[in-house]
This record gives sequence, structure tokens and C-alpha cells, in this order.
Amino acid sequence: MAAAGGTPSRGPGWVNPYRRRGLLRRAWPFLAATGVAFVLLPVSATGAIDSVDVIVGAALFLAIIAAIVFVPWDRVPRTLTIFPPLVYFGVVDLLRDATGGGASGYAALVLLPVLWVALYSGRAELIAVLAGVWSTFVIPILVDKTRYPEGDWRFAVLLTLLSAFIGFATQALVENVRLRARNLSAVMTSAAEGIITLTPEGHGVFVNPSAARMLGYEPSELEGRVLFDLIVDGEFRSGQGDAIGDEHFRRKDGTTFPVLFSSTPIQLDNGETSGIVVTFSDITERREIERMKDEFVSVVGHELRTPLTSIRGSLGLMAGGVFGELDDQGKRMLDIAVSNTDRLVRLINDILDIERIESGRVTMQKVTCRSDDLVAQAIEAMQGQAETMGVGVVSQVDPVLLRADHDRIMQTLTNLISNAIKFSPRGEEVRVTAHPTADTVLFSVADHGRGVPADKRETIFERFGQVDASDARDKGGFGLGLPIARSIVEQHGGSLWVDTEPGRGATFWFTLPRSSEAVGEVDGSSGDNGRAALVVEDDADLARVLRAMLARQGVEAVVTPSAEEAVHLIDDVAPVLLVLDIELTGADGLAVVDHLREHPEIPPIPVVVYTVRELSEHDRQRLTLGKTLFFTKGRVAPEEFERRVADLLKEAAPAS
Amino acid sequence: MSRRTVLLIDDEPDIREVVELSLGSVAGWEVLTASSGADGVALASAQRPDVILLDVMMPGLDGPATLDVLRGRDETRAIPVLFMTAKAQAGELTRYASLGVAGVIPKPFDPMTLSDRVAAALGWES
Repeated sequence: MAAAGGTPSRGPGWVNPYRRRGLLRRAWPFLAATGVAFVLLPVSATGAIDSVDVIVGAALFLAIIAAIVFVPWDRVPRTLTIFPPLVYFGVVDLLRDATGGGASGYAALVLLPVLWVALYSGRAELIAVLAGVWSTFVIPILVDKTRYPEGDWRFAVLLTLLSAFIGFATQALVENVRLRARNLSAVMTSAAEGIITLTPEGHGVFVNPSAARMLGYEPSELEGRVLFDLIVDGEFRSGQGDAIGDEHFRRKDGTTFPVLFSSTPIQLDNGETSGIVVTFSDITERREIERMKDEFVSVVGHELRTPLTSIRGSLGLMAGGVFGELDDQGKRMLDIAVSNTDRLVRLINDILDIERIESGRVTMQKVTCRSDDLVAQAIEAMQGQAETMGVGVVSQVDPVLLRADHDRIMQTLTNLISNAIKFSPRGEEVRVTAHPTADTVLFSVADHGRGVPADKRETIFERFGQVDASDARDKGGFGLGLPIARSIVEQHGGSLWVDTEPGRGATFWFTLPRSSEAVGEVDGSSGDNGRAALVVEDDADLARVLRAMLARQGVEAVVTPSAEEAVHLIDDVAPVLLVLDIELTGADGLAVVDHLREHPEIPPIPVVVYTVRELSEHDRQRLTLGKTLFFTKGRVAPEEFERRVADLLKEAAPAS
Repeated sequence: MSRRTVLLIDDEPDIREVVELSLGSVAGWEVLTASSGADGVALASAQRPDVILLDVMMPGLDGPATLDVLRGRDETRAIPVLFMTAKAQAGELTRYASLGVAGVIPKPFDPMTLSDRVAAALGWES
């Protein structure tokens, strides 16, 4: 095809087969095969070698190489690119002629131009080359019947068909691979997510534009470089399965940004890993939105509670008779106002709570707790409601240690027990149980109320998804208790569900992961993980702070609000430290130290006394058994407190 | 025991009034009030109350900043402080408690039992 007006004619998506980039990589098998053919000439010939043929053949081959290298193929018509393979057939004919004509095995060299064109050119070029194969055999028969007998026709047909088969099959395969590669590349290039593939040693193989942009590089700067240091704190390498995480990546300029990433090993059929695919997205904006939402929720909560504080306070003072006694109807009205204000506050708290828990932004402060303590404390907290409603609450618990956020699990249990009480007929019993299974603790709260209809068994776990719309009014709930409870349990890796028979009651079940230790196995000598401190503190907020502080020292806190219970727990927990509040309901903290004094068989335990009371010298002596520290609440800086407790722990039981 | 003196620092006049009645008329304590952190610090230095009830969210010096100032002065360093806050999410309570206050009283509170809560947090015999 002549190029009109000198414009080279090329099809859409045509790629110059002789482009410089990667030319040697593409051409070397062809060069090598032809080179070997020349080298083997002395041993291949059946008679004397025709040296003129060889020299002309070699010159032709060198001319082909020179043409490929020096012709500006990008500017000449595409049709011309077929000439180097066609000319190569001349080389094949010369070598055949030099090595015995029709009998020469050099005929096989015709496959080289076929393969080249099949791999790097189009369908039209392949057909032209097949014509070349045919000519390569037919022309010599026509010219020299002595060296190329008529029987070579069969040979020409066979090799042309073989070339066509190899050529078309190769071209189809190559097109298929190119199409897939183009699709994959389009996906990877257009993806908003960053995508990087690495060798197992961490060298970048492919970096998509999004990844490069987020990291502040050009893709080419990252390809070939070791990229394990992109991740600030953590690693991409993931043994067998996927690793998904929240991390920070480092930009070219050294700054970091938060990402959500997954890293997946590329597994070969033989089980070996050929690399790692890392995909990630920049979550700076999401973090900022979460922060703004948190702040919004917090401010709204504050703004709603502030006027409610004044309303609740004023009503409370009136209802308390501070301004004189009201008549019965007036009192009744005030009680309604007070209880509804309280209800509004609970609603606000629950809405804010579920918002935060469901979004996973409340981290569960997991500590080692005892199942029997949790159940006992939850029942204790609900005793008032149970008595008012005339419902009994009984429990049956096998004590097991579990890892859980004490306050949140209390919230779950009290929500479930409160529901059970509300829906129990007067005089009935609510039954709470907790039993260990292989790796969980199974809790249940059962009532003999009206049960849950089949179509409501899931909706009750949705926000405001009560069985009956009138429940909010009649039972005083909002339909948020169950969703909150389920979210808390799920955040612990457990599940919560209901078994029910309408009219005969409902049993709510939930599981929590067990601690690996059994009750009584928490051993001071079992290393950091097993070290536990017994915290005797009845202020839940302060207990939480102490728990977090001890966790930082590698010590788990077992918290109890009562001195009596502390005495029982000492044997089970074998604490490495005793943190003791003196002001407790029931027996005071001194009783715990008295117990230790009376039982010299208990190994000595360092004691931290943390109290609001100014202690008399007599009390101090009574509290001092071995190593003892005294602190007054609110008068010691938290850092100072933590430092001295850490020192005490090191002295008493050095963590080995 | 002599009469307890309480200093309330809160920017909300209505809440100050309720607390004054609650701790004054109901519990019989002497109640001093200040509407800002700065006024509160001045009053605390002059009057040396037995306890300071401190609002957390206030314009100007907020609760934690006021606490810092109180802890930095010899006259007020030893006075126990309780935060009173309407930002009573669990995480926030833990954070406030870790600032070294003797306790946190969430708003709204029951005015008839407020003095018991304060006394319990400080270990006073009510």
C-alpha cells in the first residue's frame, strides 16, 4: 500500500516491531538461532559447502540487522516492516543451498520469521510471511530440479501449513495476553486506590499512578527499589493469607499519612510466593471526618445536657421539697417531669453511645475479668429495678476468666437483665447463667415474659426496633439497649442472639472469648502476661484509670470494689501488687491487709495505698506489711504515681 | 467538724443557682461560685475552700486549664477538685480522671443527692 502524500499508513494501536526499547530482549532468540545455524554449517553439510552462498547469506543477514537498527521505522509506511522477515527467507534459501539443497535441515529456519511476525506484527504481515514460506520452497524447485526434486512440493505444503498453524496459534495467544494485560493495566492505572506489586524481597515491580501520587513519587522512581520502608510501623509481608490493617505510609518528603491497606501474597501453583500485592487508600480525610463527627457528637451531647442539668436540678429541688411541700397532684406532676427528664438524658446518652460503639471508635479496654464477678455486679446493679417490679433475679455461674472491657460488659448484662425484668410478670424469676465452652464463655439471661415473635427476632437488634411500638411508652425503653449490647459483644469478637418461644419467654445468649488462663492459674511467676494486680477500688472511673496505668506496666488489673471480695480473690489471682483504696462500702481496705497479716502462708505482696483520707500514723503502721507506698488521691500527679508504682513492680517482681 | 466550704466554677448561671441551692439549702454547706476559671482561681486562693467543683467546658480558661493553674499555685495546690461535666462519654470520663482530679460528676445530677456524691468522692463522712 502506497502512502498517499508521504503519510505513513498504520492501523490503530500499531506498535513498531523494531522499536528500540526492548529490541535486544525481543530479538536475541532469533539472532542466537541464526548464529548457531552459521556456526553449525561445517557439521551440517552432506557434501562440500558452497562458500559463496554462505558469504552472501551472512551479508544478507547483517544487512537485515542493519536495516532493523538504522531504518527509522516509525516514519516509514507500515507495509515496509514486512521486508526484513521476507528478506530472511533469502538467507534461509542460501543456507539450504549451501548445505545440500532439498535434503538440508536448514529448511526449519523458516519458522523464525513466522514466529517473529506472529509475536510482534499483525495478521496481514503473518499472511505475507506465510506466502514467503511457500516461496522459499517453491522457487528453488522451479529453478533447480536436480538439487530440489519434485517431491519437495509435499515438503513445501507441509511446512507452510505447519507455519500457518504455529503463526496463527501464537498470534491468538499473544493477542489474548495483550488484551488481558491492557484490561488489567487499565484497571490498575485508573484505580483510585494505590496498587503496588513487590517481589518477595520487597523490590517494587509495578506502581500505579495513584500509589505514586499519594507517596509523592513518579512510578518509575519506585519500580526496582526496595519498598518495605514505605510502611512506617509494621510490614507488608504476610505469610499465607491477606493482611489488612490501619497503618501510616511515608511519602518521598518524609511526611506520613494514614492508610487502610491490604497486602496479599501472590501464590504460585507450587505453593511458593512470587511477590506481594499491596493496595492502599489514603484515609486522612476519613480520619478528619471521623474526628469532626466525634467532636460534633460530643458538643451536641454537651449542649443538650447543659439545659437539662438546669431543668433536672430545678425540678429535683422542687420535688425534694426544698421550697415547701406541694399537694399530691403537684408532686405527681413534678415526679412525671423528673422521670421524663431522666429518660431524655438516658436517650441522649444511648444515642451518643451507640453512634460511637457501632462506628468502632470506642476501643474496648480489655482486662482479665471473672465471669462470676460480672454477673454478680450486674445483678446487684439491677436489684432496685427488680424489687420495684416484683421480679426475682437468680444466677448460676461457673467462674471463668475472660478478656473483656469490664464496664462495657456490665452495660451489656445490665441492659439484658433490665429488659428481662421489664418483660417478666410480677412474681416470676429472671435467670442469669455463665458457662465456659471450649474457647468462649456463654452467658444467658432468661425471662418468662411474652417472648419475641418470629418476625422480630432480628429487628429487635436494630435501633429503635422494639417488638411493639407501644413498648417505648409502656416499658420505658428506647429500643437502643439491644443494639448497644450486640455491638459491644461483637467488638469483643463474640456474638449475641435470642432464643424465644412467644408467650413462654425469651433467652438472650452471648459469647465472649475466654482468657487462656483458668481461675486461679494467674501466676506471678509466669512472666509478664500472667502478672496480675489486685485493685480494690469502688470508684469505677478511677478503677479504669488504674487498670490502664497497670496495663502500661504489663500487669493486668483484677478489680473489685469490696474488701471482702478482695480477700477471696487473693488466692485466685496471686497478685504481684495490691492497690488498695481505704474508703470502701462495707469493710474498709485495712481489712485486706489484716487478712494478709493473719495468713503468713500467702507470699508477700507489695501494697499501694491510694486514698483520699489523711492516714494516721497508727493506720500507716497497720497497713505496712512489706513494701508499701502511700498516696493521697488528687494530690499526686498521675505520672509520679505511675513511675513509683513501676519502680515498686520492678523491685518486687522483676519482669524477666 | 466545721461547715464545709465548696467553690463552684461554672459559666452557666442557672446551673450555679441550682448547685448553690442543692449544696447550700439542702446540704447546709457554704457555697462560693465563680463564673469563669480566672475568677475561680482568685476566689480559691483567697478563700481556700474544702473542695472545688469545676466545669470542664467553659469559655476562656476551661476546666483542665483551670486545674493546671490551681495545681501550679501553692495556696490552691492541695485543694481537691471534682470535674462536673456534661461531656460524659466513657472515654472522656477516663481522660478527665487521668488528669488527677479526685472524681468526675456527670451532668445532669440529682440536686438532692449531689452533696452525697461529692462527699463519697472525697471520702467525707456525710
